[in-house]
Amino acid sequence: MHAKTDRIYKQQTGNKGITKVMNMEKLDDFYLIENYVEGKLTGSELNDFEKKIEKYPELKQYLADYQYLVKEIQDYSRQETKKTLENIHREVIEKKQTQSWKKNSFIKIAAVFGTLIILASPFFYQQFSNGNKNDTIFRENFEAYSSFSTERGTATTHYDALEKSAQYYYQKNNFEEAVLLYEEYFKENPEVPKISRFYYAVSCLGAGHTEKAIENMDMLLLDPKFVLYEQTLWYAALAELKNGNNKKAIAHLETIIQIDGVFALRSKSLKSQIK
Amino acid sequence: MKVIYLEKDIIEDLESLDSMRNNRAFKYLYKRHYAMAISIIIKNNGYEEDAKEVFQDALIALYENIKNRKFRKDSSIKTYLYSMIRNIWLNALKKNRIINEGEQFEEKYSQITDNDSFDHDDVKSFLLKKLLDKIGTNCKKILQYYYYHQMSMSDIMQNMGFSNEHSAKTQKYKCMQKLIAFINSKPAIKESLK
Repeated sequence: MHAKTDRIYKQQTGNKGITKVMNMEKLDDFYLIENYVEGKLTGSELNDFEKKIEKYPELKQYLADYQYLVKEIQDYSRQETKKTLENIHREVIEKKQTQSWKKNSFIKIAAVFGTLIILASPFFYQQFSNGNKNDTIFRENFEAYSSFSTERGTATTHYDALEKSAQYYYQKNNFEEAVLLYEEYFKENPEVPKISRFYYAVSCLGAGHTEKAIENMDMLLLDPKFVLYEQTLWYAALAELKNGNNKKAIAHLETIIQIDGVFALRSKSLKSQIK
Repeated sequence: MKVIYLEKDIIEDLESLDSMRNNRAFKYLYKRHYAMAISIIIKNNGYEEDAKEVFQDALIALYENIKNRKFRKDSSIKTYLYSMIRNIWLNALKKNRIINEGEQFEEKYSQITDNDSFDHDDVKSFLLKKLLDKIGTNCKKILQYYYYHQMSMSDIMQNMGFSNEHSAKTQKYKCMQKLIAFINSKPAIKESLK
């Protein structure tokens, strides 16, 4: 077995001199080369080896071939990974399109059945109409508030970039992504600015995380001097409404009416809708 | 009930040699974060179509860093991917001297690699596959496990069913010797791979 590996090595170098320097029949010598390439040799072992490389061109050539092949193996494996990702890309996109088609069909079928059930069962309809009414009012009144610039720009810091990305998704009404990015941003920047918390809370509301939205809005409402205090009251009212807590929603709306700011008229209208 | 796919599970799946587990993690990351790649690129003078290449490169970097144990397990995958996507994209722009104030962005990332080098990559990939096929499936596997997947000899021994670590080491050595011998017996292939 050893003679065979030695023979292979001699064939490729065409030179017998190397066996005098490094005995390639021995695994230990192969590992010496491998450890050198992997940066695991130190001290005198490293010095001795480097001297040998300089002295024996065959060894130098063997090392070059070894390093070159390791890189090729890695490149080849990377290409295999890339092919896997290409397939996943196709699958995920195609699946998404198919799912979207299926979802639309399902919605259509569900709409037909839903209508039949509602028509056939007035009692059932009445039982749940209060919840539906709140949802309808919420949908009619919920709109993402925005006061930040829509200009594209390059963020200066890592957490600045996270916030900008969160804002991007917020403006696209992709609240689920916005929530995730705001949460990442808060992890990186524990001194959460109130304005960011406000947009995070609205994102939570838009994404259907009503409890989380209420929790964050309540924190903001502790400071009546907060620059978006009135806006926070408005979204807190919507959140309470969505949660089925009409009394709290009305209380928030009445505070807005008392302030008599930009949301006063809307608040009066919403209050009358709830009642 | 919806099963929660925790970050540690994603990392374990990517560490695994099971391609099904790898795929599960990649699919999840694709669904979860591809939109973020599009957003970063659009915000930095790119187009939606550029996102695919950049996102895949970022996923490969994550995958390799997890394999190399360079990825800190307490780091967030999302934050890591965010930084990688941004760096890869901005470096691609810089490399092509596209970032100049007031200069219009004209090239797409997909067009950055010129056609000649793309063709060369295809040829190289074909030759590499042929070369690795020559040394046999097991040899190919053991070399990929060690040099790409960064597996320890003990893990290779268990995964490939060697009776002991020494046998696995000997086999790896023989496979590398075969590869070196083969490449030196075919100088034309060696030249083409450069």
